[in-house]
Amino acid sequence: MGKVRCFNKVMIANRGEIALRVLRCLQDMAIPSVIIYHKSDNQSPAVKLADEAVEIIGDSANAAYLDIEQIVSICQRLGIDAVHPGYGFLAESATFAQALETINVCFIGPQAEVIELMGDKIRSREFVAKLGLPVPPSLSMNVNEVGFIEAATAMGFPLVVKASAGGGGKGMGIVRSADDLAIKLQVAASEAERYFGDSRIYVERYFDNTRHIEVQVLGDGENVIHLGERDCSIQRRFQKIIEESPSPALSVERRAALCEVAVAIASAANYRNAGTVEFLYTPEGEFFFLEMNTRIQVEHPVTEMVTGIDLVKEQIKLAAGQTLLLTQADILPQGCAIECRICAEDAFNDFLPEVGKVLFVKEPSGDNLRFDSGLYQGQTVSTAYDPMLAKLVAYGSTREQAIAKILEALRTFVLLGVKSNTNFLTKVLSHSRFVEGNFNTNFITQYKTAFTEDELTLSQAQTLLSAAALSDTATRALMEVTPQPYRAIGRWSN
Amino acid sequence: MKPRYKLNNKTYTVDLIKTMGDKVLLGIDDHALDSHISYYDNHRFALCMNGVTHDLYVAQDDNTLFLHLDGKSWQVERLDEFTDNNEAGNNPNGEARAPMPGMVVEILVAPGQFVQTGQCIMLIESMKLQIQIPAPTAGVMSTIYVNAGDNFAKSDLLANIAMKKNLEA
Repeated sequence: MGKVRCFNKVMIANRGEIALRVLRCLQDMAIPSVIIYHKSDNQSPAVKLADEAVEIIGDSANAAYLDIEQIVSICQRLGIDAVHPGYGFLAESATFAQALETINVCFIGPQAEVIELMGDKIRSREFVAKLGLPVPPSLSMNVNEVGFIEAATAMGFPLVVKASAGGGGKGMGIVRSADDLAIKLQVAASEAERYFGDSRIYVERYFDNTRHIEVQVLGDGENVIHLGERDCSIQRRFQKIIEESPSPALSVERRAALCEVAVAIASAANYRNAGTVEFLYTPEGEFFFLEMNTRIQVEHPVTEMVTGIDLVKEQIKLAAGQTLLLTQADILPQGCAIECRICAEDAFNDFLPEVGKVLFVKEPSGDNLRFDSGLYQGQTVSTAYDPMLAKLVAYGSTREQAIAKILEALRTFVLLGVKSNTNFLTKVLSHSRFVEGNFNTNFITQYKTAFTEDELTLSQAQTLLSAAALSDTATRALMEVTPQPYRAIGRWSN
Repeated sequence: MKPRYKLNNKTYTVDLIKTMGDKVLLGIDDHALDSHISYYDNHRFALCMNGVTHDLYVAQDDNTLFLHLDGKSWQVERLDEFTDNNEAGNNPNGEARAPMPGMVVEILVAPGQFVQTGQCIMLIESMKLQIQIPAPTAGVMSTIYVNAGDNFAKSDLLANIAMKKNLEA
């Protein structure tokens, strides 16, 4: 394959599965790599496999990965010419992009001013509304401003409160009555301040029974193409857990209309990078612009599986100033891909995060399967990071085949030492409404009675308890110290 | 004392009655089962129980055994004689305990303040997620054991509420 030698040394400013994903791409493109890491990640595969690894120091792991000054100085010291930010952390920080530009290091993402425009939910929706494209009714006044509560109430309930600088469900809340409004605003503003250092929030009309459908775009600053859509309606706590492409809800005409709007928005912003335009999609087939993500997304593998295009590679080439060689006619999505996010959480107990130590992992593998993970034996899963551990993606020529494939792969995935949501994901993926493709963003709450832990049968309990008792190190130690003749004749008095 | 194990919130007594060659006769809550395990490697073995064979994966961390059987993962915990039956979480005697490890974001009530059952008394954060800690009972906030910014472990006591009933008594 043709080598693209566009950068001499690229830094990965992230961790976990996305760091490994970007690293593999750099290796594939024969570009030397540098990874930065907090000491809690020093045993992770990406740190071990990168050409160079540099420790970053911080009061917390999170603070280290967000320390722009420290990262910039490492770039200068090591002669780095580009930085891939992954998703989360500094991926949508215009300040970081600007700081890199100042020292002549390329930020693998859009121009700082485009991040500022499209990364801010209030500014971007104003931008889209000015283009004459549909946005949901909203209110972007300051919360403390006189008349805010009255104006919000006047829009009608339900409403959704969001952080202006936000993402990932942080600082979000649905308000169904006026009584609820004040406390939800307070919680949202405090979360927004903590996560994004920006307490601005806004209130939008909330539509029940809508889908979340997003369009993947690629732009080189002049031309923009789309790579079809992803349906990300299966969510818990406003965070996606299952994503697929194509959306089972779209007709050929609706898909064309949606993708055309996404391309129009990205074109108007002179977008350069891979990006995602997110929409609310109503049961009537109406859609509204939600936000644009100016970075690679967690669920990008779904699009890669149906189009055969490596989005991270495209990002790197576009950042290096190459023009987009792909045209819309080259994009011919085939079949169906489904992704599920494997998270350290007690999915049957309100999705409370779980911690622990990874004692054993057996990754699923096979044709038409992809497992993007940073998991490793001995890894400590702590509360310092997001609970997502890995992504499992399956491809099928039909949706039925993709579902069967992912269910089979979930069965063969073994993770011991940390509780994860695999049993829950299996239930969701096998639910008849999911199989029919008939769902919206309320799916998990709507059918919550179907998503409870299975009762154990007596024979299952006996199998597990026998296995536990016999493999328990305490029992094995006891067996070893008890001389054989006594073992056979008596009852142990433990 | 016979070993006890907890699975899916239920406690079972698992008695190792005797060994017969490479088999072990187990008594699980008075059901007698003859079992035998043979290891493929450190984490994988076959369990033959009353003549039926099952493939399992296992890993152990202290008293917790993690098992994988038929595509699903389970946790079995060995209870020692010192383990009392107090469960983690909020209990009816006015103690608000941490449902998970994390950090205190904000305390929303002051000692001496009256709270309703379910009222949010503090915001905690774990894995970038904010969670409200509800008052386990109605009463007067007597002691708050943590401050904003403090880290705590799962089951740690966060606050204590003097119950209405006890106040009246």
